[in-house]
Amino acid sequence: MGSSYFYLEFLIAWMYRLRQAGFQNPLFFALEYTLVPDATWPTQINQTTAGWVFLRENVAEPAKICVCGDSAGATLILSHLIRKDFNPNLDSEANRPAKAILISPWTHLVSSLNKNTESDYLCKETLEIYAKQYAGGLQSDANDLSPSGNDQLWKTSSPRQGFAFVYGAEEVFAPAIVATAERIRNAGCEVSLTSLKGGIHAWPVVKFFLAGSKNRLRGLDRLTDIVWESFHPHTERRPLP
Amino acid sequence: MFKLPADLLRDRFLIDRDLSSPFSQRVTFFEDLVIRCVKYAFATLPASIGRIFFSKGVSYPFYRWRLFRSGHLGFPCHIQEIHQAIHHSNSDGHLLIMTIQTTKLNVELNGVLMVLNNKQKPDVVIYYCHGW
Repeated sequence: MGSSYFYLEFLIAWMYRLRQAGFQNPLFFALEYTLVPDATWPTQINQTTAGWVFLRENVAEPAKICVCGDSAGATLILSHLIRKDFNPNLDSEANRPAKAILISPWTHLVSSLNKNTESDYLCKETLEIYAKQYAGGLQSDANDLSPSGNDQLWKTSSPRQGFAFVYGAEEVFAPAIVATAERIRNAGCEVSLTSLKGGIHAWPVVKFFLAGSKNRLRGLDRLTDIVWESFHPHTERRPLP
Repeated sequence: MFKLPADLLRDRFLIDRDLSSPFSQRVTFFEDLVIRCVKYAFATLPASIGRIFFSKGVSYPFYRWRLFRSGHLGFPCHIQEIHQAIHHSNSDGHLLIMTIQTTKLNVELNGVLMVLNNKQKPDVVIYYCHGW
């Protein structure tokens, strides 16, 4: 349902937060992928990879790029990182991004791990309809298209500073996200996992749009900290106003 | 029409705070109301309706209005739409726009690029894939 244009305010606010933290010139590229059901798998993953190649060839070296996403976008990022059929990055750490930041990723498209909660606005039953649409109807099990791999694949696909998962403690995807993060950590990758108490799906994004001026930046500030720590692990960032 | 407001008023004002959902306990009345409406919409309305709300035609003018009322006549950064068609190489082997590796993907690339200073190299790049 979403679009990059809806996220412009969130991303530009994040850009300014990164500037305030100490970065000189942050650049953002928001991918506008084709929504289901206008296109199905693997179109969206191919578009995600095309965006990565565009940035790598025209904007900056991989070591300066953080790949990020929320919800289905985070799923695309994970799927792009571990794709086996076309990935120029697997054979060289120099070609890998700096960090992957996944906000409430949809890690298991169809799974008993996804559980409706009293707090979250997502609904497992509706999600399964979207998952099947992404899979292209009934031709394949949507769960086969969830980002998954063996230890070797996660290890060789890992960004240089690993993965950061940020999720709401009360969201439908919470158990699946925790399972995925632990799976990747057990594969030998660096993984951080931030659970937002009382939070729901994509809470840093939702909070930005709904909360008052005092609280709306809290989620963004956590993301800013993650990016800062990835690039300056031994240096404190400037205090954010 | 009745259940949503009734549940909201009950959870916010009529029962012990500890008995309401962990989310409700931590957010404002407005946030709680909006999320309950979104929850209802997600479960009952088709995605084609939600797409209108999030689309460029609605989101972009609304954001320009929010910038304007905050005193920004233009964008607070350089912003550029990227539209790149990726084709297979033609009979001469000439590649259009992207490299040989990318043409295998056979997709178009669309996106929005934002940077504070487009005349200076970035020191950090965020590649973002939206959700919803």
